[in-house]
Amino acid sequence: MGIMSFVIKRLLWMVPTLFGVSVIMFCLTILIPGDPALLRLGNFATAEQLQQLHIEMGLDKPSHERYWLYLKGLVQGDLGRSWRTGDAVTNNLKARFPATLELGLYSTILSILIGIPIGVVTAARKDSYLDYGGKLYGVLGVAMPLFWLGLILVYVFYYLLGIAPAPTGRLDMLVAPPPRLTGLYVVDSVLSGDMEALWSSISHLVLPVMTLTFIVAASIARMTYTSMRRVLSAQYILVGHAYGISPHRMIYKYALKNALMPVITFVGLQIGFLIGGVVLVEVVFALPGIGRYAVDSLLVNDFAPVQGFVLVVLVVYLCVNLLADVLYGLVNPQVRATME
Amino acid sequence: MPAEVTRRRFLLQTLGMIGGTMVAGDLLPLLAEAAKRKQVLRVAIERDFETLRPELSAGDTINMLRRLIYTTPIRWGTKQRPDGSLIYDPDTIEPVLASSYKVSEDRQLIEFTLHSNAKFANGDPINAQALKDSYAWFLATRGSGQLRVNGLPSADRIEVVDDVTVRLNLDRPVAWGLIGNALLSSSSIVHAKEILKHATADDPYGLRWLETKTVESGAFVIETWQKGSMMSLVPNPHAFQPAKLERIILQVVPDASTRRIILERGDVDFAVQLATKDIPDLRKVSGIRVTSYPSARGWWLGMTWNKAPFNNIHFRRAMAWAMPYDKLLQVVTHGLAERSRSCVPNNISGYVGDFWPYETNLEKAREELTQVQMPDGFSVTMPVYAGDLFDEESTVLIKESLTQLGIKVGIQKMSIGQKRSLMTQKQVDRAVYDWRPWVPDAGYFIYWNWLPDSFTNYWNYANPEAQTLGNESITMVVGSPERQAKLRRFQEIVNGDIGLVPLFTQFDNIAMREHVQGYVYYPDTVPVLAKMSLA
Repeated sequence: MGIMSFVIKRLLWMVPTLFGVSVIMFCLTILIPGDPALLRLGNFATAEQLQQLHIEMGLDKPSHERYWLYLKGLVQGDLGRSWRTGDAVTNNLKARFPATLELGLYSTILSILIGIPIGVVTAARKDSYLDYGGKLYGVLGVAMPLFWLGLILVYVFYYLLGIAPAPTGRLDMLVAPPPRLTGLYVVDSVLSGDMEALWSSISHLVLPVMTLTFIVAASIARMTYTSMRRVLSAQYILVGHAYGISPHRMIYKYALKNALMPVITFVGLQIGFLIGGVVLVEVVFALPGIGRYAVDSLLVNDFAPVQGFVLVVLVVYLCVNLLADVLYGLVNPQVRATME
Repeated sequence: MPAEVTRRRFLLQTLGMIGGTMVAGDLLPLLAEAAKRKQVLRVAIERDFETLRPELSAGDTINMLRRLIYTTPIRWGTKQRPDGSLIYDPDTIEPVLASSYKVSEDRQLIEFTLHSNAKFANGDPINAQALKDSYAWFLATRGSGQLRVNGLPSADRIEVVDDVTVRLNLDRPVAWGLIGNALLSSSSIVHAKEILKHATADDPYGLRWLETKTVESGAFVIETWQKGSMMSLVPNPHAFQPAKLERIILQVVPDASTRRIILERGDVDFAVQLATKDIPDLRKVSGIRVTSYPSARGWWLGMTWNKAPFNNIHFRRAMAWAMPYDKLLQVVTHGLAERSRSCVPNNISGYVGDFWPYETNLEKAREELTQVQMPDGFSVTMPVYAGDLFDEESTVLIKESLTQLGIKVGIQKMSIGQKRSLMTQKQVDRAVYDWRPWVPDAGYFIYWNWLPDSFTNYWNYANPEAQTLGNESITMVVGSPERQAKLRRFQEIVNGDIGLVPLFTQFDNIAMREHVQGYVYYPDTVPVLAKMSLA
């Protein structure tokens, strides 16, 4: 019950947070100079045509009225309309979210599976070549620009070696998408038994996931390393050694469990970085996700999609962090007690 | 008699079999793929289509799609260049939906005779009434500034003579009247009746429906559209001119360098909007054909006429002397451009390059600046469209040059949306920018840029004599000696005033795989993919 009320309380706190962010976003869009109608019309336009388009796009209304309309829609789940795509932002985000989710999900899972073992092993073998290698990877991973890494991987694996598919989205051009069940092509291909789409979607995910994983796993590895080093120098570990418990058992049964506490929170916080990274990776690999949707919209002053993107990302971020806190509570009885 | 099995023979045969299998394993799928891809044109495009509404004209991508799915009565004729490449012919017209056309002597009456078997994608006929409805829809939505400009202000000036004959009665003769009313985007034929079925009280012209759905009149119809990713098109089953291509796939690849490498590796047949810096290297790649066309896309340094010191002629002359013209050509355009010497772009009818004596000369620039009141020095901020290499690099080189004159230049990066808006609202003091006319005519360019109420007269230029000449050129016959004389005088005046500083006119560099045939370069650089095929 304690955890449940904690979750409900946190969920309720999301409402004012979302409201505050929606106000800030709306104010920013007003402050950013630029008239989207002008862009939509192109060079060959007339003043009359411009006026007409202002009315059609609702730009003739005062700002407070536009915000009120936006807020009314928001309460009903309507994130507005994108003038660039001519469609409801909610529809656009729904169509594009699976591409982002697929990329983000696999990258997160792989980052955890790679980052934590590297952190543990390097911490356990201090001052060995493994330790130096792990540290070097940590520095490289944190320092390397994501965009650049993506381009290099494309250059090497696609252009030079020819073993990766062309970075042209989620599938080969001549492969039809699987029937939409979840929107995740890998899952949908498996469920529908479409092997061609399965192979194509997996092969198109390899480089983007590698790009994100390389960077995110490095941060997780560094965090795990620091946490493990702290735990391994604790007195109870020394006592354990003195009792003759094997190093392997000490590390994986006793030290790791305690070292993982801050790592769980860190992974939750990494979601923010991951979403930022997803935007860049989607541009490099031509993936039609919500990140690229937001960037493309921002460049042409189409602000409803940007507002929608920020709100969706915020909800995801808050939910993941809530989940991390709950997990933290489940793993650590002390924290659980404070929740209760 | 069977050959003796020796150890060497056995080894060679085994290796041969393994090698053969490997080659076949690699080659056969490729051959099968090639066969499968026969007449499937794969095109890498910069961004997704924003809308299926043809009356909005922003961007080459939407224009490319518009040419595929909406027909027009006519298009430019074609001629061959000495290198074998095809280019539009400004002196000839090719009928498309119209099987023939007539223009009256006073140029106020244009008559089209339509193909009798022309149909929309749903099988409805594209007859004279459908054509009139399409024009009427454009005019009703007020979506076409072009039609009004071109002498067609209302639908009652369109006359249905019989089932296949339509007359446009223009309210005045317009130099580009035929092109403007029958070839440009505003002449895209839409199924107005079908669109209006989706009209609502707050959307009386069905615009919202047309954003994402349509009934095609062009050579191709949309098969699938994965938003933000790709669109596949197949030939219109009712098209009166059969297409050679079986399918066109338009794949969104936002990054220019990625478009380049997938073209190099043969994963697409044609890539648009490649970075100019990549062109010299692409020329060396086997299997790729790169053709440079002299375009009318001019680049200028614009300066406001609203405030000092920009409206001081000595300041403007100083700027004209200070521009690093050769450096711009070499560094920014990699030699893929030509010097521009007028207030209208090169390679259009009526261009005169005789009135621009300025070369890079900082001494002369300093002399001019001594006559300008700038006691405390001078600084200016120039907006730059982040991501446009021509804009960014040109501005940096100009800054470097002006720094030597003691002028401080700040560079403010912004999105294309912000920069364009600020310029159209006349809030920019000075900027590098480009403009490409869709009709290769100086009078057309003047209409949109140089008259006091021109939509893109960003700098508020006004000169009564130039205005009179510009207005007169609108109604005169293109190429006539009287009009050429007026256009010449216009350029003499505006260049004398330093209306703006012409920097260069870029080439359009088109790259595609060698097996792609039928590409024709048009003045708006938007290809007609339906005319292309694969060898």
